[in-house]
Amino acid sequence: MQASFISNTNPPGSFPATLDVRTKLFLCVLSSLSAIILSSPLALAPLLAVSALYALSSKNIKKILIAYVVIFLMLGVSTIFIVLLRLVCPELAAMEFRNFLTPFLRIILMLNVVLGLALSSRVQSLLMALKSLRLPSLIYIPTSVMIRFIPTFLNDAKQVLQALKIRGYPLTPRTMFMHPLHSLRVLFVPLVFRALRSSDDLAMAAELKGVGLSNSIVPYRQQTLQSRDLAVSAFAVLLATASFTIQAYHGGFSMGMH
Amino acid sequence: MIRLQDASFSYPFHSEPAVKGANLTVAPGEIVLLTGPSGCGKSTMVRMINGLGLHHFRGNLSGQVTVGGRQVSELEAADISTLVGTLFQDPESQFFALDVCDEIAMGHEWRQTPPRETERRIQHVADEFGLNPILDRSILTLSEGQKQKVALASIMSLGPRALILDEPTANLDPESTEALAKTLSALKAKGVAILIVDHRLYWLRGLADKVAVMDKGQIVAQGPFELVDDASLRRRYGLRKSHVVDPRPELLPPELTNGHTISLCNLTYAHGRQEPIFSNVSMDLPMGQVIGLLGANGVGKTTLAMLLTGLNKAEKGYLVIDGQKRKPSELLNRASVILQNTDHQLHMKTVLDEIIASLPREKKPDQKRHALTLLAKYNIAHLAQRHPQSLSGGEKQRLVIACGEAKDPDVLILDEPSSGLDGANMQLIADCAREFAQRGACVLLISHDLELLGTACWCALTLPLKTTTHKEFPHDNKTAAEYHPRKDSRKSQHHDRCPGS
Repeated sequence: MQASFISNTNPPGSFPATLDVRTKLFLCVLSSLSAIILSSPLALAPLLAVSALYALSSKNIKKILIAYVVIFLMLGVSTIFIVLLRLVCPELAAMEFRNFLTPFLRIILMLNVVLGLALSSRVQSLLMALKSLRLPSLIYIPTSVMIRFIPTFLNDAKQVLQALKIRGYPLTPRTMFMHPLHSLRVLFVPLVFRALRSSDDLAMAAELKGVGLSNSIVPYRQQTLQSRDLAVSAFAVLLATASFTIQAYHGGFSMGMH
Repeated sequence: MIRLQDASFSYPFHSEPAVKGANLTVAPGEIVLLTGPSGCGKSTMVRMINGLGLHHFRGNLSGQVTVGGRQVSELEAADISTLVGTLFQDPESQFFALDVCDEIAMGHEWRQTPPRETERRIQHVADEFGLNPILDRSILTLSEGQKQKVALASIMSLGPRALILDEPTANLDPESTEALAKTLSALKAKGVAILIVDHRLYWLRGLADKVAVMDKGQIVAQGPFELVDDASLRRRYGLRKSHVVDPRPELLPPELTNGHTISLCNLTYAHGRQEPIFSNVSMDLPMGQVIGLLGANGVGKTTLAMLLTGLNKAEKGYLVIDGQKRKPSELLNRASVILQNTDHQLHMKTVLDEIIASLPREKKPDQKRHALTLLAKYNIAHLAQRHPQSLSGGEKQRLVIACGEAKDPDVLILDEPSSGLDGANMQLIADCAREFAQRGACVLLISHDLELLGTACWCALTLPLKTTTHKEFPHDNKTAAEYHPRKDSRKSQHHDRCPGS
């Protein structure tokens, strides 16, 4: 099962698929740190270009385009609301291009690296990576359970939607608009109860398997990083350093939204 | 050895104990079957033994419960699991990892077992349970029988000398059930004490040494397996049959007796890019019959139901209904599909609302009376004001079937409706299915339950279906009029029966 749950196979020649999951997780962490610290579009540009190439090299062009369209739609909706807000209360929302550009670039940067991870990594590899990091059980247990049960949750959601179709109240944009409370009820009641039941079953299984007996686990098989992983990580660090330097010269450091 | 001496258990905030004064012994190399009607306290008994009652449910245990000579009340649940392993009804819900090898390794990793020792134990159970070919497979791609084996191997790799299995055959086809019986027989020969909680009795003939029957929290009868051959005892406690003859060889494909048929023509379907599971197959489903849909786990029975009703989209194929070529999605308006997992199908605040929401528009003026009649038919009228999600598994099962009937469909598809049901409730479902078919509907019954198939079905289709030559529309030499289902006549009969309709 792939982390994105979109497809079970990697297209031939996918570059991210050749990397270790830990490397891809490292790229995500580094990108998120960069997205928080960098505010200058000039500093974000090289990261953006390389991350776009990285995402495209997963050879899942259609899925990447869908993700971009969704992001553009979300940004479009938020822009409409800002315009409306400006009409009502001009002092609250300043319509400056820069105000939109930096958050947009940050979102796209994160989207690229997350797509690279999600479109090329299997859930089992993610679990193994988490295991080999020897994290404290307080972090490892909830994270791994969350990742492990994403496929189950998606399957539950699919079955709830099927059951709604069978019962004759399919969730369409029209029904959701006309009957929002009813729509929420029929969708979320079964999902919430199913999640509660699954978590109860899992808690019982955990007690019986001795999960949490010790603070950390002893993984029985170790993953080793390849030279390709080290080279990609080193390149990513260099690129991030270059971006920070550009920011220092041209934009100064900022942790804010702009 | 598992031993309970005058053991009682009550859940927090419950004044009445769920199990009262139980005395039971499971000796090494012995298999004991614990059975009884739904809600009699079997699961509580399991929780008393594996420590979940005390440590997870925080209940109150009195009397003596010992496993391997050690008091359960003095041990942590994780320590108890090295003495007694527990296999639940749905093994997938207790898997933590996503591949077989990691799942078996899990318990050892948390016990800080050195990697080499963990590997040795994985290899040992893989050899013992024949898991070597699937050791690197994702658990999500395994059949139910394979999942059961993986869960058993994972438990046994921790080295317990006692084993509890809770409804182990509920999701298994008869062949996988037979394989499980062989595995348990081998474990029994090695001296493992095994307690099996199950409604299905027939598969344990020759395997179980002893039977304990529970009712209302107490063990009411105990003795050799032949005890459940007593028909009056089975009737008194709503037990399943102790001897079941496999009805599948007797269940022939449905015959087209009167021409009222839904025909599925030239169906082709594959999951994603995999090999097609249906390749140009055709079949006829006559109205007015209970048709069993048979086949091993994973052969595509549920998928076929989804394709018939357009919930899954076929690559190729069409339906002929009322003499007209139709899309499968058009059948959905005239069909009720009862899926395996009842949790997904219950949305309303009360049981009564759930039924009312399923009633067709024409019944709205008298909806409450209709709903209550249906609830009474399925023995759940006393639960009318309860939240549907608070019901027990068997009660939910009956509620979703009642909802399916409330829609008054032409086609009723029941997917494993008797999973986890006791004898009395299984009989109720079988009777309702037959009655519904007699009223003119086509009832498609997907089940591995030999007892239910033998009781309810008149004929059966066995998957995989054979590829057929291309069928032209309208197929055979029948005219369009001959395909007309007896919807109108059935409706008029139904209206005659229901005062106020």
